[in-house]
This record gives sequence, C-alpha cells and structure tokens, in this order.
Amino acid sequence: MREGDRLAAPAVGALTRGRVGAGSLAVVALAVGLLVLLGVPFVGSGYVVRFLTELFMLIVLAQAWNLIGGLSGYISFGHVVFFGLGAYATGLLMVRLGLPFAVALAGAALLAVTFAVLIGLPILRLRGHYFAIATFGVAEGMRQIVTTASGLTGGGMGLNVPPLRPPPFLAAALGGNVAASSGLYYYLMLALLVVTMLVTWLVMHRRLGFGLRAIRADEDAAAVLGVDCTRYKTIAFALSALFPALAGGIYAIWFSYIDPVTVFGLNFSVTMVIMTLLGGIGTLWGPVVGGVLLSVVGEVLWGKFLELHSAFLGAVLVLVVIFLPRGVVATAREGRKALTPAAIRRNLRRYSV
Amino acid sequence: MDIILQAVINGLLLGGIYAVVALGFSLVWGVMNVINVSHGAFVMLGAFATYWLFVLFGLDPFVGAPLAMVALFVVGYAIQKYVINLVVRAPIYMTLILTFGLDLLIVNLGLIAWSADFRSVNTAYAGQGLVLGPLVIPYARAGTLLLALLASAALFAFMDRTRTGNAIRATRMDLEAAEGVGVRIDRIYALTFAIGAALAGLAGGLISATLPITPIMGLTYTGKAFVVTALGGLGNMGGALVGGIVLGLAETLGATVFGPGYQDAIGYVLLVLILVVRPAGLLGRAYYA
Repeated sequence: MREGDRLAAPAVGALTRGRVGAGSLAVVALAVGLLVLLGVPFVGSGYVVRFLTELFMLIVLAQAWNLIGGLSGYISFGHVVFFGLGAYATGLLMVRLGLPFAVALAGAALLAVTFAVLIGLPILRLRGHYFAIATFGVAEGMRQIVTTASGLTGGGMGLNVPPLRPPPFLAAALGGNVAASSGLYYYLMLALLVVTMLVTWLVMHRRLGFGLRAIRADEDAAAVLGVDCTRYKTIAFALSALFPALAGGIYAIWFSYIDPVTVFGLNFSVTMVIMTLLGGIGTLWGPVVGGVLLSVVGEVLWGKFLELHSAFLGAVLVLVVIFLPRGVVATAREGRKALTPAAIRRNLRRYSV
Repeated sequence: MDIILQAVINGLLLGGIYAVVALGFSLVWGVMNVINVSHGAFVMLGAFATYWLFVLFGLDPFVGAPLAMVALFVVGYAIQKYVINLVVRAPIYMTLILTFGLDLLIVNLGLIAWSADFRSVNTAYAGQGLVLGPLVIPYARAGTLLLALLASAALFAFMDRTRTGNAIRATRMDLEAAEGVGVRIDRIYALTFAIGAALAGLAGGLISATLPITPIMGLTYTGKAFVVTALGGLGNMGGALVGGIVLGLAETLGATVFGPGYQDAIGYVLLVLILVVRPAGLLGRAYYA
C-alpha cells in the first residue's frame, strides 16, 4: 500500500500536467493502485467496502459534472436529475417490466442520454447563471413529477427494487470476508469509476476536450475559430448525463429502495460541485482528490460529532472557498509556498472588495 | 367559477409572500452577482424569531415580523462584511458554494436548537376570514399581502429617492463608474446584503403568521426565489413583485386544474419554459447575462 502511494504521487502529478515522459511509470502506478482496490473486498471490513463503494459513486458523479462544468464552464446545478432518472428508470424497468438488471441499466442510460440531449439543446443556449437556474429547475421539476406520478413511480412512498443475486464464483472467491452482494456492488461501482476516469481522460486529450476548453475561455471566439459549439456542448452534456445515470441504476439495486427526495436530492447536485471545486475544477484528478478529502472529513466528523456533522461540513465549505479558492490540486502543486501568510493574504485580496 | 375565483384570491395572497422572498434574493443577485443559496435560511430565521417573540412575549406576528426584519438586517450586514466580501469577486460558482456552506451551517444549527418539528403561531384570529358569499379571504393572509406590498413600496422609494439607494443602483449598473465617483463598494455590498436578509426575515415572519414552520423550510423558499427571479428578470425589482404574483397565481390555478400534488412542479416547469423562451424574464432586461 505504502509502496503504491509513493509511486502514485509523482505519477499523478505527471498525469495532471499531461506530460508523456513519466507515462509508463504512471501506468504502472495506476495498475498497482487498481490492484489494491480490487483486493479490498478480500481483506477489508464490510464498513470499508461500503465506504469505498459510496466514495466511488460520488467520484463518478463529480467527474461527470466536471465533464460539462469543469471543461466547458457550464455550471449545472441540477445534475442529480440524471442520477435520479437512472435510478428510477432502472428500478421501474425491473419492477414493472421484469427486465434483467443489465438490460434495465442500458435502458436507463439510453433514457438519460436522450433526456440530456432533448433538454440540453434548448438550455445549453443559456449562459452563466441562466443555465445554472435552468438545470436547477429541471431537477426540482423532475423530482416533483416523479413524486406526484405515484401510479407509475410509487410517489413519495418510494420504490422497492429487487436486489441482484451475486454470481456464485464471487461468493466462493470472497470466502465470507464480506457478503458477496457487498462485493458485487463494490466491483460494479469500481468498474464504473474506471470507465468514467478513462473516458474523461480521453475527452481531455482529444479534440472534444480542446473545443470545450475553448468554449469555457470565450464561446464567441471559439465559434469564430470553427468550434461547433452546440454540438460540442451537447455531446459533453450527454456524456455527463450517462455516468450519473449508470451510477443511479447501480445505486437502486444496491440500496434496493429508492425515493424521490433521496435520488433527486439537491445534496447530490451540490456534492458534485463541491468535490470538484475542492480538488480542482477542470482537472482529471480534482474530483478524485476532492471526493476522498470530503468523504474522509465527513466520515471523521460523522463519527465524532453526530449532531453537528452537517453544520461542520457547512463551516468547512465556507473556509475552503475563502482560503483555497483554486482547489487543493492547484494549491498543492505550489507546495509550501501556497501556505505562507503572505500567499494566504494574496489569495484573500484577489477576490475581495 | 367560485373555485377559480377562490384560487385567484389565494394565488394573490400567496404571491405577496413569494414577492418579498424574491425581492431580497433578486436584489443581492443583481447588485453583487451573488446567488445567495442561504436566502431561505434567512427566511427560516425570520420565521423563528417571530415565533419566539410570539411564544415568549405574546407579540403578534405582524409586530414580530418587522422586529425580525431588523434583526436579520444586522445579521446580513455582518455576514457580508466579514465573510462574503472576502470572496465576492470570485467566479459565481465560488460564492454559490460559500452561501451553500452558510445555509448548511445555519439550517443544521437551527435543527439542533429547535428540532425538525413543525411549529405554528396560533393567533386568536387564525382560521378566521372575511366571507364574501362563497369566497373567503383569511385575515392573516390579507395582512401578509398588505405588509408585503408596504415593504416593497418602501424599498422602491428608498432605491429611487435616497442617495444611498441611488448608490446601490449605480453599483448595479456600473461597478467601476460607481467606484470612480466615490461609492464605497464594500459598504454598499454589506448594505445590499443586509436589505436582502431583512426582506427574507420579514417574509419569514409573515409566513409564520399563516403556515407551520420548521428549520428545514428554507430550501422551498430559495427554490421559489429562483423561479420568481427568472420570471421577473435578474435584479429587476418590479419584475420580482410581478413575478411573485404570477407564480402565486400559476401555482394555485395549476393546483386547481391539475390537482394539488402538482403545485410545486408547475413553478419549475414554468421556470424552464420562461428561461428557454425569454431568458431576460417577463419584464425588462437582465443585468448580468
């Protein structure tokens, strides 16, 4: 584990800077890290497995938000709508039509992507605040509709989703260290996380990513230079809808109960934004770093101050915005220099009146 | 027909509250380019201040609400001066996260202090109203609308007639020019946020006179403020007033036609439609695009 960490640190740095020189070392480090994660259900406790499953899910959500919010600068404030749609579509296709999980999940992904394109075409024309409000409106409106259409969705009472039977070989391999079903959901989320990271990396190093960054810098200039802004934004929005929908589908069978307040909750939308900002917006590893920090801090506070937990989280957010406005990854890259009183004062003066 | 008329009356009365909630929210957004997600938390604080004044001192909510307004003014001034002013020029999503953090902090401290239970201000005149044939105008709700309109009129007069009000408007129109002619931006920002919080406090006090309150009530009103602001146009105060009334009417009429469950959904569907069709709002133009 320690060996892996030591190797990973420079490799992560190299990847975030997009340098190719340390490429092979980075790949080795990532492979080691992945092997460690693959081994967790064999040795870790049920608590650790569950904690990591949730962490993977949150990082997937944050990274998906980062694809549209970080790269193109279109700040979505209702991204949970795709998570909720994924959860409900998967659950409903399984419960009402009796479809197997994999088929239901594919259907849910298709539905969420279609919805993203349909809703994206009009609202991606809005800029800045108006886009943020529109996404918020879409998510809240969808929550209300799912709550009210109780004949189909079960309404506020929620929906019971049949759990997935884990394959026998998994139970045999895990040898009873943790329940086979916990292992199954863990591996599903881990696989989704790996795919999300790979796709994000690809997008960032391909034409699409460059186009999106150009849109963030100056959309009108990008259009003049020949970037097909509408097409780029719509593709990015559809991709950023796909992964939360898949995460929602896995969440539905993992918890085997979903309700509108939870799976369309504003908390998820905000968590995506916060994790990305905390780590570093628009970077590949920002959502990962931010997600790990937020989850660990949240878990520690949760254990120590059961009642004050959320209030503390609020205070942490306030402090992060004031003292680390550019995120942990960018600040850490500057090393010790970033933490001197002069640097902190400079940070404060940059955005104050 | 009577049902529709009653829905119109209820919509007007509800719209008055939405208008006051949105006035403060829209003012802060328009002047400082800050989306104050904790606006609903200030509404909640105003409601609880009025509630405790009623329970502990027997003060009528229509007396308590203006006192809550004064208290929230002070709280708002301090929060802007010592917290938000530090990062007010950061990108919009940073201040959004900041106010979300404030919201979490305030709401959860409220939950610890007062628990999530619903509470009501039970006045002697609760449930009574002016009966006009088949129609009813509840006294408390009518008083709420009256106070809401008075507060809006006072705000408009302040912005139009006073030097300070003009300085706020100048800051909204052109920050650098205002600074150039000697407007102290930091104070104007603190004052603007204080007015926004005060209006939220008043709205909360008025809500407590007619509806049950709980520490987690704020989010609903932040949502309504979003919708009304989009309807009326960002930073457009007349728009906030009209938008509030329109939303109140749309909700009660919609609930009458489609069923009560759809009351909240109607507002959000309206929001997205308006944004797509007329991004600058029903009236006027946007100050920030």
